[in-house]
Amino acid sequence: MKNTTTYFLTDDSEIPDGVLMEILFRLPLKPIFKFKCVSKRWLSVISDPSFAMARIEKKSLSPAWDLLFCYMHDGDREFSARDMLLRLTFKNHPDFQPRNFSLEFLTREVQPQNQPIKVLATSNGLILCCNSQRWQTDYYICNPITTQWVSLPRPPLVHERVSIGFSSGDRSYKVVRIVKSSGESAVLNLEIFSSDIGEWRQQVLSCPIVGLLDLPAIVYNEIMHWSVSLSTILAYDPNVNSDQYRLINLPIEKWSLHLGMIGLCSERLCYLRVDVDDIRPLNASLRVWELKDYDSGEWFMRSKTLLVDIASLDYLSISNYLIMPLAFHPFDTDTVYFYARGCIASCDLRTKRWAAITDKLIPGGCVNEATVFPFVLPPWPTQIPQPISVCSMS
Amino acid sequence: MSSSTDSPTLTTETTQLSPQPDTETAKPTKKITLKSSDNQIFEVEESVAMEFATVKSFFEDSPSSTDIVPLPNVTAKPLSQVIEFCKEQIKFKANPDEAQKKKYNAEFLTEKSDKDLVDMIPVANYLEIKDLLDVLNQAVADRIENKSVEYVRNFFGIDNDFTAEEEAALRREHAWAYEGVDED
Repeated sequence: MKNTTTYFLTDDSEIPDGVLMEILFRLPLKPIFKFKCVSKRWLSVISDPSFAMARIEKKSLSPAWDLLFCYMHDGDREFSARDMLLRLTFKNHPDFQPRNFSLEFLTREVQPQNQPIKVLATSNGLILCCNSQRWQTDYYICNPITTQWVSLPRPPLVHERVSIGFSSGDRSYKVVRIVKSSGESAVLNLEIFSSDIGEWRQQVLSCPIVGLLDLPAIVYNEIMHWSVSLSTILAYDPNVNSDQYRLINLPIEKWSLHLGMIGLCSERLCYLRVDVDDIRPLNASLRVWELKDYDSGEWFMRSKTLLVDIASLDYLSISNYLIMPLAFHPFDTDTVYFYARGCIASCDLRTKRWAAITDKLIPGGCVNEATVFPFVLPPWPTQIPQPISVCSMS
Repeated sequence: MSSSTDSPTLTTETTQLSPQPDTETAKPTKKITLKSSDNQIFEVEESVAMEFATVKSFFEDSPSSTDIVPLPNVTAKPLSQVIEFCKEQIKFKANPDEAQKKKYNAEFLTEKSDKDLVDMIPVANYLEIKDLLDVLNQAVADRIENKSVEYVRNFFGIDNDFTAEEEAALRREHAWAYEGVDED
């Protein structure tokens, strides 16, 4: 027989890795993960970190995001875990097609009494959940796209209320619980779980703050930031074993009746505030600041909008107090979100227009800041970093 | 053997089609002779051969060469299909018509079997025909997107080299990715 190339290909060996990658780049994430088990060669091509990086670059993918919120109470209807709806659609995104999004995969496993699981915080495409809002004991971290989840060891103590911080990178994550000491008023007890060591450790801060809100920490530069009063942010770096913390003052000229929240927008720490004025409703305003200089704590007012410019006076006179800041758009500095008149609404600060993005959800208002999360999904699904000691436990 | 039945028609097809002029003056155009790995001879217009970056650089390296260009990595059948595609692309280069081009490309791909596409990819890659490689890659991606793993192995002629346990572990790990697969 002549030593020539066979007429027909018998396998994919004549398709070089580069070309195979080019084919796979054109697929959404789901089939890419599915085809990991085509062959060892495909598995190694897809699993190589350069594949994910090249795909992001090639498709110039930006992170998908949506507002994540749970609506537990839907009118008078009784609800079960299955009824806990999470709105998360990622409209028009090639990788995350609209589908019924739920944490049912987790609830099914860990909440046999069919109690809804509580979403506490999100970070790097992962969600921190808990079995209950009060008396939190069982924490779970899950990736809602890949349905991967882990449970954390129980924290050493049980408290009725804690403030939560959750920060995840690709290699490790941290969960922080803050409890106000019942004895001394100027002491905060911190419980910090790190995936690197796989256990909780305790830390005491001598910190003269008056209150803790139920909001999860805003993570900026890996430092956690909690609103601890109408005028103060507590900043704590969970990555160092330290009792050092910092209080950052919010921009307040004079005391006034206002609702405010901090958040991240375009990778800046921002503050959104609605000032209401009973006597002169025309003066009611909405302002956005950004922390211009983190080290000096200097704020810069980016925009001021009179509420009367975006909604009728008639509307304002009855619902001033119900316009509650909910969230920043993570990338667009001109879009903010509110809870108003039973709906979640988006407001475009340039055009001064706003639009309800949900139907009337919850009469009586169960949506609050603690239950709306700008959920940003990285272009490649995050693998949950595994606690080392948990893995090695028998 | 299938190659011997295919080859005469392929050669005549190319020689019949190539002299057809689509410009007003029927100037005799320069021909280039390509030889596939299974020793089939293809005579194509120079403009078509210049679509193949690999062939183009062959002539740039040895401009006076009038020899047959050997293509040791390319068999006749996919080569003939690649030539067919490039001939059309030349026409679109002369008279740009995006809509027509799109329509032609779509038809060209639709009538090809899975195997035709898979066989053309290494040829387009070797000859460095970027436009063709792009449409082939897209066509293959479209055809496999919603298909099962078994279908894709069959599509590319890949042997499963995982053990049953290894494959089961991978499927468990990425269970989310296996929802909503089309019937093969």
